[in-house]
Amino acid sequence: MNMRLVLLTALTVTLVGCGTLKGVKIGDVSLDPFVSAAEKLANSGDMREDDEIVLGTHMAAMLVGAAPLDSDVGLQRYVNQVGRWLTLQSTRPKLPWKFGVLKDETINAFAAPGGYVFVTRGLLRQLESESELAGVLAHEVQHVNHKHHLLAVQKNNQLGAATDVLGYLGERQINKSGGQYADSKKAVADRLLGATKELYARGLDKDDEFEADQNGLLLMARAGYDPYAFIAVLQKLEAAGSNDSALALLLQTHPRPTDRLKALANAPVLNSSGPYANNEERYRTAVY
Amino acid sequence: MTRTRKLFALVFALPIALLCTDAAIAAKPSAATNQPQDESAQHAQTVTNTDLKAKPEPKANTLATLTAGTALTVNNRQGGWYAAETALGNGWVRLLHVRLAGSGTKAGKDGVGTLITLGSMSRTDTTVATGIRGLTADDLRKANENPRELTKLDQFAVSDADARQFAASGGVKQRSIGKE
Repeated sequence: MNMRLVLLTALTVTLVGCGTLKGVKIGDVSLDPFVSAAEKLANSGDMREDDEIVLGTHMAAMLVGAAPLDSDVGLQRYVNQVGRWLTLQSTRPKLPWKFGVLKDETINAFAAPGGYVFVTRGLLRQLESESELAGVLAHEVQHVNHKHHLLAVQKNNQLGAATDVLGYLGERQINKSGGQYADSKKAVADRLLGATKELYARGLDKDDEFEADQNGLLLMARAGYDPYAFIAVLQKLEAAGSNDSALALLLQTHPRPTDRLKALANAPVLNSSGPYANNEERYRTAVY
Repeated sequence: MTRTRKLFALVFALPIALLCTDAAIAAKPSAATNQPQDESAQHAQTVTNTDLKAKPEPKANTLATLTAGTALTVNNRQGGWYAAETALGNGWVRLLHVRLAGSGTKAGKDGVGTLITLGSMSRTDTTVATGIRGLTADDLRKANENPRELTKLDQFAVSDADARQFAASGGVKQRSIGKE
């Protein structure tokens, strides 16, 4: 018997009896655009950019729920300046890009759909130039531009079962019922957020990481930053190695730095002549 | 005991710190010198046979050929090259032909692979035991949305014009290379 059908039936039965919630909200954000976007995602319907942004906003809110933003406004703006310059050269310059420094001493970086990019304070302490920062940001920007997180969540079957309920009942019926099925909407939201959390805890597919490395290298070079700076970052990660607790999560969720270096060794952009910027001084002023 | 330590800190550490600052300042930018500098020196080894060059350019004079596994100290990076100090002299080696020490590889000629406390990124085993407390996979699994915190991002965002101005003032110029 179809597993999804079983889940669907079970969920529907559960939901019919209860559900007096009306206008379910997470924080100040209304749930409906989120649920509708989640539904499209699960049914691999065509997502519009604003659906993507809605989903990304919830994912990003979850990330800053795990680690707050650093209070250094000057530093935050500096990272946004480097990031925004990069995205202007990228394939999606019109996204509402937002960059943030997380107040956390581990070494890591994250992206969320719709244009969210985060780096930790701990990572910034290990970098030595604006070009190294640009390399890390460009890698994350490419995760967004290639929709790696969206596609990964889409593959998640759990999400499919939850959204089937909505698809089965139909949006009109749900609205007409006057909140009777609000629980089913909440179920979709919860499933999506659950899938998101698991995704960030486990990491993307290795191929997505290699793709972000390749295209990130190209993007930083296009923006005028020395692509070898990113090679230097990976070499530092490689040297720090697996016995560095600050790197534990990054190493769990990414391919080995040695393999990433190997994959980039023949990137054509490494033979381009530039000239390229590194801007060590400006970086030091902003970060230290 | 504690007092003795404080005294030590004042008498010894302070002048040392000052000395280091002076040295760092003295060693700072001389952009394209051929001489490796001490700033951010790091132990490394070659991972393939590679040429030691007089300048950070493929066509520069070859000073020596280093075999794979040769221990060296690398300093500044210039593009795809590290300034290097080797037993065969000082020069420049390709970035992609070296591995920085501490990566858990087999020891090089000088036992480079056994060095795990070099460089700013490395930590000793003691540090691992106590560890850096921070974001773990579990924290992410347990995280709750914080939309209010996220709205703070709006105040940091910069305009396109600001970003262009920022790039120009740092000498960062768009390059037309490659296709995605």
